[in-house]
Formats: sequence, structure tokens, C-alpha cells
Amino acid sequence: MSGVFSDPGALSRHRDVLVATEDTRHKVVAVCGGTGCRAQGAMKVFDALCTEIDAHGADRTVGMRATGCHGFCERGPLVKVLPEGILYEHVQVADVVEIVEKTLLGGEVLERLLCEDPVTGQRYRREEDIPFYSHQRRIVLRDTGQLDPTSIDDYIAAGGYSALVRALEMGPTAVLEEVKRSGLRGRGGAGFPAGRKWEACRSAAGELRYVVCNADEGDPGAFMDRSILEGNPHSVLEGMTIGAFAMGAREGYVYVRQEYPLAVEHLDLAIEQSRALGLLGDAILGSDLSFDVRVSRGGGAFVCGEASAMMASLEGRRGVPHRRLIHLSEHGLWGRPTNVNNVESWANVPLILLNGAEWFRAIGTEGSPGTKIFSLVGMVNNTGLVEVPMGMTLRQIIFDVGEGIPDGKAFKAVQTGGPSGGCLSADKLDVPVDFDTLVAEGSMMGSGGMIVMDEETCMVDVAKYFLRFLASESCGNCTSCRDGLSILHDLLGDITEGRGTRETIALVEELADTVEATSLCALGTSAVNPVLSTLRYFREEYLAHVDDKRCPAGVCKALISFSILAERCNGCTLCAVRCPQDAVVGEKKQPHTITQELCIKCGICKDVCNRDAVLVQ
Amino acid sequence: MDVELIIDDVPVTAAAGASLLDVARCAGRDVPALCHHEAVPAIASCRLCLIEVRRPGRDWVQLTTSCDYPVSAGLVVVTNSPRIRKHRGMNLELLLRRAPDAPVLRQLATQFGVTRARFAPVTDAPLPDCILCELCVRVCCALDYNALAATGRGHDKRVGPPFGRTAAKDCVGCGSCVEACPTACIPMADTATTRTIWGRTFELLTCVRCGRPITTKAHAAAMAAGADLPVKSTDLCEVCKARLTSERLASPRR
Ligand SMILES: Cc1cc2nc3c(=O)[nH]c(=O)nc-3n(C[C@H](O)[C@H](O)[C@H](O)COP(=O)(O)O)c2cc1C
Ligand code: SF4
Ligand code: SF4
Ligand code: FES
Repeated sequence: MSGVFSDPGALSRHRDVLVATEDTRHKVVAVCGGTGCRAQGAMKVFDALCTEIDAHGADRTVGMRATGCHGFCERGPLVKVLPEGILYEHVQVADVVEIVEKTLLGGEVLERLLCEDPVTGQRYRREEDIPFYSHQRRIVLRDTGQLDPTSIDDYIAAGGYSALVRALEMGPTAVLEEVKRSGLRGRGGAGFPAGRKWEACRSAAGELRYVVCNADEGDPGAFMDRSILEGNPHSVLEGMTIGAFAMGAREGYVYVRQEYPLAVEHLDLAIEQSRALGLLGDAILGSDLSFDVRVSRGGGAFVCGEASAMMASLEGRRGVPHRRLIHLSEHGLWGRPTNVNNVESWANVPLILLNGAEWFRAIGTEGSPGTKIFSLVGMVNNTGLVEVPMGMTLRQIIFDVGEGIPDGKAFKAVQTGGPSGGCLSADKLDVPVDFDTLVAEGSMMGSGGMIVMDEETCMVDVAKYFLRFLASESCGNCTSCRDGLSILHDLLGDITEGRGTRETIALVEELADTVEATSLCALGTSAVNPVLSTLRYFREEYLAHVDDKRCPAGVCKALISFSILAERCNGCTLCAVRCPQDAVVGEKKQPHTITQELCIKCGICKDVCNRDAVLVQ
Repeated sequence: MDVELIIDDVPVTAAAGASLLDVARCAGRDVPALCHHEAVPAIASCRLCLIEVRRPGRDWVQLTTSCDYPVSAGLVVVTNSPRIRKHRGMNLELLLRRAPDAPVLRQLATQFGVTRARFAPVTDAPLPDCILCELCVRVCCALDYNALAATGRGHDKRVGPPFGRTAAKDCVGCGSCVEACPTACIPMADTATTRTIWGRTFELLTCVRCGRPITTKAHAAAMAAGADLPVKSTDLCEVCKARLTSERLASPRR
């Protein structure tokens, strides 16, 4: 590397050299090195590929990269061959020799490793042919599957830090105006317009001010922020630097949760590299901008992602929310003006500066421009990280990107917005996904969790599940949230266990109203969403539990019984052998029966029966 | 700086930034509050001091706590309404699970007509009757002893010695937390010569004149250290100090 870039020209000359070197390589193999693929052995595959390529003396013509997450972790380890864009799934060390000899040197595509469609069984040749990818619009995630996140040169070669150069040319006021015009809204939950927040911070009184990146990401199952930090840490740093320039901050913090060691490692490395090249530090690119970033590791409590609690935690106090009548933009970290944005929000900033506010506004909807990354999980064929334009309908996300519900089951509900989001029913599938519509429908965007549920899901049980999480994550300050949520959880327990009445439902509604109306922070005020939304869209299911003591989805153990349909049972004894309670009785080759007093409703009999003879009622 | 606001239709003048709860109470309004003390920072835990506020230029009324609401010009405040009573009542009902017999809660229950106990009482709290308001913690912190802390989350939140210890290492036995506790739930036991509190037993300092206990020796030493005074100045109890003063005043030598 070339020492500190003394001006933008030095950066661009460095980029030219990098691009010229790249061009001498005929192929690049990008192995996904995200946490998901690593857990499935991706780095072993990477090492084996390197060795094999070296052994063939092809290391000059074939480049190797361990990249960030490709988003399709369930198919990992993923290996992509560029420039063709051939994507191989479930690659094992045993496949390596063949990949090198046939695909890399022979130009032949290995049919058996291509991504298989879960519905049609068809195999797709290139990434952009796969429905999971073809319906997405990856702008923030565009490079996470292409670049080596540990190499600043990869980022620079792909045009990295030219948005910063652009910003320095424009000057702080114009940068702020551009972000305001882009209509970018915070991706961390509330969807507050970023430009307005920046402006408040910039015009707040005081010499020192801070920019903070919220990477606490406490929603169970969510990993969009982790993937960005792991896969493209420089995009976040560049965004923060541009923000610091616009707001006049000299210091920044990234608050990352403890459980993200790889994200921290890559971020630390990225900061080090940026400092070495003068992209962080004093007189950045020869300008009068001085800015540096520190990483702070959070203790892991969900509530620490709430901005005021995060401030307390950054200052070394207990991570508990407090009232913010004066905005953090005026009175934040150590009482100084502070601007907090989410990882994904920051990562959008360089794109806006580089391509312009109009380009950004052309994606998404009028009120919610741009894209949003979702973590699509649950009962859906394709799970993973998906980035789609705002305004795409739930149906398109679940049935086009996600390719529908597995095993031919019916869609029942989708929960958006993380644990305190709401559950929407099938008649809401054509609702466009944007900040305002989701709230109007009783859910929220949150940070982008999306859990798909099929017909075998009990919505009362689902609400209970989320309340359990939220009750245990309440910081314990407010009577309403601390005690209200744990009682709500218990009341739902009464309903799922057959002790509920219509009065229980009324009490749930009355209590939820107080929790929502009187809790201090958004954890408390939004925690009732799972209950209220399921009561709104799935009320009959609650009534079946309390009036008929019946769980229509066949989930709540206290309300279901297992029996064997005599006309289907051929007396194969499979279930009788497996039943841990010896509750299934009957002669060989004769219809069996279940002794209800012994049955613990574990469902093993239903799972093992080949003839679908076990009935759940 | 003084600002004008309206509380229950009555114009009121108050210092900007003062706690709306204090201001409303000064104006003679009855707002229930269990976790508030003028001397320590508000955390707004009990959620009883609810009021309705409309800020100037806004056309909507916000239901919010008053103890941590700084007064500003032009606020229009309502301290009692059906909505306020409904939510206060519910939060009171929640607190009653934790301290069903605490006089302060019983009295509020009567006042707000909360007669039902629809929720099962809390039976697993290590400190019975504690409503987790952290007044003890905040008072101890304001006195700079920092012997107590709030730990845990949700239903498992606790107050007491930090890090789950059984004894409060930095406690000096001053008993200020006992004074501050709204439900009088902190066990403190005095004998003629000792005081036991938060898992520790302290020797008491007795008045050199009458022999009555004054405070713990540890507390006296801490005060003396803080004020740069010899321990001696605290050798007399308040009663004897007063007596001594009047004796001196009466003495002919003056
Ligand atoms: C309980 C709770 C948890 C939160 N967790 C996160 C989080 O993990 N990451 C995040 O960016 N924002 C989180 N937020 C939202 C933040 O308070 C804040 O609005 C956000 O970081 C602002 O950034 P943005 O405007 O770019 O979205 C949370 C909020 C609440 C109430
Ligand atoms: S609403 Fe819940 S999480 Fe938020 S401050 Fe109150 S108790 Fe803590
Ligand atoms: S012990 Fe008393 S003062 Fe301390 S938190 Fe409990 S109720 Fe409040
Ligand atoms: S006195 Fe305000 S919340 Fe307790």
C-alpha cells in the first residue's frame, strides 16, 4: 500500500493501479466467509481451494476471496465463480478438486452443485437466475458477497471512498441537503428521517459532537447489521465519515453487540486500514476534516439497542432507557450533541452521495425511499437475508423471493418488525411493505425481522412466545412494562392451557392498554403489538381456546388430544414402539388406540406414522 | 428563569426545568408518586404520577409521567381525568402484587378505589414489599456511598448490594435508604450497641452525655472524612446538642 493519501487524486491513482492488477486475473472465486457459511465449514473449503489452485499453478490467473455473507446461508457453504457469476451451493472439501479442474480450468459448469429450486427442482446456473436473488434489489448488500471485507483495496477498487471524495467537494451543507432530499429514513426501527436528525445535531450548540452507529441488533434471528459489518465494514465507516463531515463531528462510536466477534474483528481491521491510509484521522484526504472511530462492545441486553440506553451503556452506566425530552441530537453522549443511526442507515449514505438523491428516491416508495434488508425466516422455502425495494408487497417477498410455504402447507401469518412487531394475516399479503403502512396495519418495520408462519402455527402461542422474550428483556424500570408484560405472558399461558375465559381476554386487553400507554421507552410501548395484532387478526382463534377449549392449529398441548383413525391404521406398531409412555396399544396388524391418561402429547406417533392415521384434535 | 404554565385551568409560575410533579404539588394538586424524591434524579419507575400535557403548538395531549417532566413555558397540564385514573389504577394494581400490605399502597388503593386483586401476588421477591423504585439506591448514590445497586432485568430485577453479594461492602449503616423507602421494606435492626442492615452489623456510636445511640461509627467516620472534621463533633446526640446549647446560652459566664 501507498502510505497516507494526501489528496483525492492519490486515492484515485491507487484505485487505477488496483483495477489494472485485477484485470490480469481471468477468474475470481468468492467463497462466502459469513458467519453462517463458516459454521458449515466454508473456511475449510476456502483453504482447500487455495491449495488446489496453487497446485495447478493457477494462482496468477485465478483470484481467491473470502467474502461477506451472500444472504442464502441455508445453502451454505456458497462458492461463486466470477465473472460468470456461477453459484455453487453446499460445497464441501471433497468437491474442491473437481471445481478447480472442471470449472476454473476447464470452463465446465458442475450441474450437481448448482442451486436447486426447492419447488421445481430446477438447477440455476447463475446467481441472478435464482428466484431468491432475481426478485431482490441489492444495493446495500451489492458488494457484501463480492469483496474481501478484510481488504480495503477490494473496497477501493470497487469505487469505495469515492462518495467521501464527492462529499468533500460538495461541502457539509450540500451533503446535508442531499441526505435530506434523499428522504432516507432510519433503518433501526422508528424510521425517523435521517436528514432531519443530522440537521438538528449539526445546528445544536456546542464544540464537540459525536456520531454513533447502532450495531446492537438484539432481535433474535436478525442478522442484517451483522452481515453488513462483517461483509462490508468500510461502507459503514465511509457513511459515518460523511455524516461526521456534514455534522461537524470529530469522533464516532460503533456500539456492537458482544456476540458478534467476526463483525468486531472485521471492523477493527477496517478502522486500522483506514487510519493507515489517512481515510480516518487528521486531515482526511488532505482536507480539514478530522474524524476517528472507536468500537465499543455492548453487553448483549436487547434494551441496550434503545438509543438512550445505549448512550448510558457507552458512558459506562447501566444500560437503562431514560426520558429524552431534549433530543439526543442536542444532548446525547456526555451531554453533547449526538447523532445515532443504525448500521444499515449509515451504509446507505455513500450510495446516496455517489448516485444522488434522485436515484435513491427512484427506488422504493414516496414516503419510504430506498431498499430494506429483511431477515426472512420461518416456514418459507427460501430463508435468508433479502434486500428489496420498499413498497414490495408481503406476497412478493414471501412467495417470489421466498418461493412460498414448504410442504404444500398454507400460509397463515407473517410477523414483521422483530419480537415487538405485529402478526399480519393472509388478507394483508398485498400490503406494501414500508414504514407507514406496516404501522397502520398494527405491525411495524422494526429493524427488518420477517417470520413466516404456516397453518400449523397457533397465534396465541406465538404471542405468548414473543411476550416471554420481551418480559425477560424489559429493563425492569417501569411498573407497567416490568410487571405488566410478565402478567400478560401468564394470562396468555392461562388461555393456551385451557384456564382462560372471555374475561381473561378482556383483562389482557385492559392491561395491554396500560402497558402501551404508560411505559417509558419503545420496548414497553411496542411490546404489546404481538398480543394486540393477533387479537385483531386472529380473534376467533383466541375464542376457540377460551370458549371451546380447543386449539384449532393443534399446538396447545392442554387443549389437544391424539387419536388413531382405525380405518387408516394397519397396525404396523411403529408408533407403539416409539411412544415414550407406552400409551399406544393394540395387536399387530390390528388398528391401534391411544390411552389418553398416559399420553403426554409429544406427537411422536404422528411424526412416525406413514399412513397419516394419527389425528390431532 | 421562570415560566408560565397552566395546571388544571389555573395559571402557575415555576422555575423552568423544575419537575412538573413538584410544581403541581406546590400548586396544591394531589398527584400520587412513589418513586420521587426532590433530592435525587428521577427514574420514573412507579408510573403513578401520570398526567396529561399539551405542549404549545401541538394539538395532541400526551399522557406521561410528571416526576421526570421538566417544566417549560406554555404547557397545559391536567392532573386528573378518566384516562389518567384508569392507567394509574392499573399500575397501582400491579404494584399491589408486590407490596399488598404496605400502608402507602393501601391508602392509595382506597383513594383510587382499587379493590380487586385480579393478579396473583409476587411471592418470589427476595425483599418482600419492595416495589423496585430504586429510591434506596439513588439516595445512597447521592450520599456518595454507592453501596446499593439495581441488578437484573424484567421480573428478576432486584435492589440491594451490587453483584448479587449478600452484604453491602460499602454500606456505612446510615439508614438513609430506610428513611427514603416508600414501603418501609428494608430490614434494619438496632440493639443498644449495634445496627444490622444489608447483611452487615455495625457498632453504634453513643452520645457521650446521655448514652443514646447516635448513628453507626462507620457513618460518623465517613461524615467526618467527608467534612474534614474530627469524629468528635458527632459525639453528642441531637437532643444533647440542643441541651448543651441552651445551657451555654443560660450560663452567666456568657
Ligand atoms: C428496545 C429497543 C431496541 C432497539 N434495538 C435497536 C438495535 O438493535 N439497533 C438499532 O439500530 N436500533 C435499535 N433501536 C432503535 C434505536 O433506539 C434508534 O431509534 C436507532 O438506532 C436510530 O437509528 P436510525 O434512525 O438509523 O434507525 C431499538 C429501540 C428499542 C426501543
Ligand atoms: S418501558 Fe420497559 S424497557 Fe423501557 S424503560 Fe420502562 S421498563 Fe425499561
Ligand atoms: S427497598 Fe424500598 S426504596 Fe429500595 S427499591 Fe425497594 S421499595 Fe424502593
Ligand atoms: S413518581 Fe413519577 S414514576 Fe414514580
